[in-house]
Amino acid sequence: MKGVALIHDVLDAQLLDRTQQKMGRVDGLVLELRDGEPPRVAELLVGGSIAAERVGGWMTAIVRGCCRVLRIEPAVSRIPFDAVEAIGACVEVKVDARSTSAMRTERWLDEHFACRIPGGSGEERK
Amino acid sequence: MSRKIAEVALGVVTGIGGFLEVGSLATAVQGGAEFGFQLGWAVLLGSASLMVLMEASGRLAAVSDRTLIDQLRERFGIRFFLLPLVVGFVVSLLVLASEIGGVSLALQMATGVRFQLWALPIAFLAWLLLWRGTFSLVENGTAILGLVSVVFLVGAAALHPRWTSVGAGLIPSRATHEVARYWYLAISILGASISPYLYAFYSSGAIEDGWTTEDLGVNRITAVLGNLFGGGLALMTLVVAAMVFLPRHIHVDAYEQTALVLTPALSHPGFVFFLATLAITCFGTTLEIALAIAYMLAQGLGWPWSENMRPAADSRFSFTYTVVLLVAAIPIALGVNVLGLTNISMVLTAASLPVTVVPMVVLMNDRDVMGKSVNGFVGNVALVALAVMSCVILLAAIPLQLLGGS
Amino acid sequence: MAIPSRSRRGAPVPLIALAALAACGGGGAKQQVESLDSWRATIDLATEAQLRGWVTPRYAHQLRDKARTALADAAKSANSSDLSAAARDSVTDAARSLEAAVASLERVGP
Repeated sequence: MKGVALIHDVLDAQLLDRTQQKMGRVDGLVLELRDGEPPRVAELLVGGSIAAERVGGWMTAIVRGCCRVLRIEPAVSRIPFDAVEAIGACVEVKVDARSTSAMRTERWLDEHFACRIPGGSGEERK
Repeated sequence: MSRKIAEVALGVVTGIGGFLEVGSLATAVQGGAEFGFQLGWAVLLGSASLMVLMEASGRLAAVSDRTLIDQLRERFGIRFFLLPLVVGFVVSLLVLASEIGGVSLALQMATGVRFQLWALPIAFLAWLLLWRGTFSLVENGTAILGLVSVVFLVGAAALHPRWTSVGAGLIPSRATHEVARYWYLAISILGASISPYLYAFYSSGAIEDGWTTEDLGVNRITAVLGNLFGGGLALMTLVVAAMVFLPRHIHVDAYEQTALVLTPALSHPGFVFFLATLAITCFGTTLEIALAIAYMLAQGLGWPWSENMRPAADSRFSFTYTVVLLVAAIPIALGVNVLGLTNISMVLTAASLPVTVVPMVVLMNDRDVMGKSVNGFVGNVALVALAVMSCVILLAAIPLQLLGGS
Repeated sequence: MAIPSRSRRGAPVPLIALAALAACGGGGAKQQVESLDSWRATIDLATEAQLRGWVTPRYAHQLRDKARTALADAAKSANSSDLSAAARDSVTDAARSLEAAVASLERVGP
């Protein structure tokens, strides 16, 4: 069985969805503890609030404060570890980024900012 | 082969045309006006340091297919990464404001319209070019136009300096007077040359241009020659100021004074080309820094990013450069003193170096990152020396700002 | 306490610097004189440059306005400070030279 260095190769790695689009970074990991069996990685977590928790309480307070001001809930995407296809320079998952909350802000800015300005939308490459 | 030569040529031209900007012009002119050729060594040290850092960050991107910012997040984690992110963001924003100020002042000197009124139109034009343009248009277009800065070489030659004295200035020496001011200017010159946004931008550019291990040679030549010739132009700026301002005891208290510097050598064309150099090089750097800040955030947080994608395809990235251009224009629109802002941002840039240079020592020796292209002995000596120098600068920056600065 | 005019080229000086400068008293007048002399030399060069057509009159006027600001700053600090009589005289002399240079520049231009 080939092992994976979770901290070195997975945590903070760039996530790519099934179309090779960047969808954030692995901000956290969830281990499932099982009776009589070794723990296993259950989920990858993507979200600013998760990254903030790793930094410290002060950072969590800042992120929560920003969310309160903007009247939104912090977005956390949970990606099952079973969806991981490859772990290399990036972590590739069998998920469509746009269907996750990882791209919530991206979608909102797309709709309310980029697409409203001439030249903002069209073919993906200029 | 001819494609490689063309790439190298373009890269070198980009290095030359993109070297001077509001900070390197201001610090070189102040250095020459107050200390003659004595601070030539600081210009040389700054460009040599930038050569090392740019070559390293380009090599890192070509080999690992990750940018410097990617590697800082992935290798050191979010906790450490916040430090270079926040420091880099704040310092780069200050420098961005200075660059917009530089373009604004150039237009004020040319047209008589106050610089405050130019800030927002310039920010808008920069935004438009980033919104509609591609990476190569942004990088190469303004750098080629920036070749107008070669006027400083022409001006220096026309003044017939004693080149042996210029050469002697390339060797570090003690200050003959005003010690605190001497070292303050030395650090400012270093900060103007070795800006972290520069090598972070360069490594992003390597990914934008699709560099691989086959481009390591191009990377090395571009980084070395581009900065050698670019640094040479900064040195010529110092020489011109030493020949024109020092004998007249002119100290630069306002940026507007600098436009006189080429007139004794080159008459009216000297004035025109100086303004063109200031406007074009600062505008090019405005585009670079706005992109660099967007790269820092997007890469660090894992967003989609590329200057070659339509803004809607990477909306957080394009929103970032839009906002930073607007925010950076505001202090200039409100009339903040451009020379003062430039001086402070150059010193802060120098002081912020350790947060990127020290991690680079680790990254460039990590075989998981660099494979066979890890640093050799010479590379490590240079990088470690830079890391030590950057820490010394950090410790000295605040006392020198108080004693020798504004 | 007179703030040396060179300090005015930058952002607001931190309090600790003001305290340090206050402790250095007499250096204020010397820096003020250096700044005024520097502006006089700048205006002299600008006058020559304008006479020879090297620079535009609108640019020369911008330098003139900056020089006038330096004069106003010098007058303010000379009046409000506790400079010695000799120091105040040297600042006044330097200010007069700069005023004369500015007048020459104005005679040249349209």
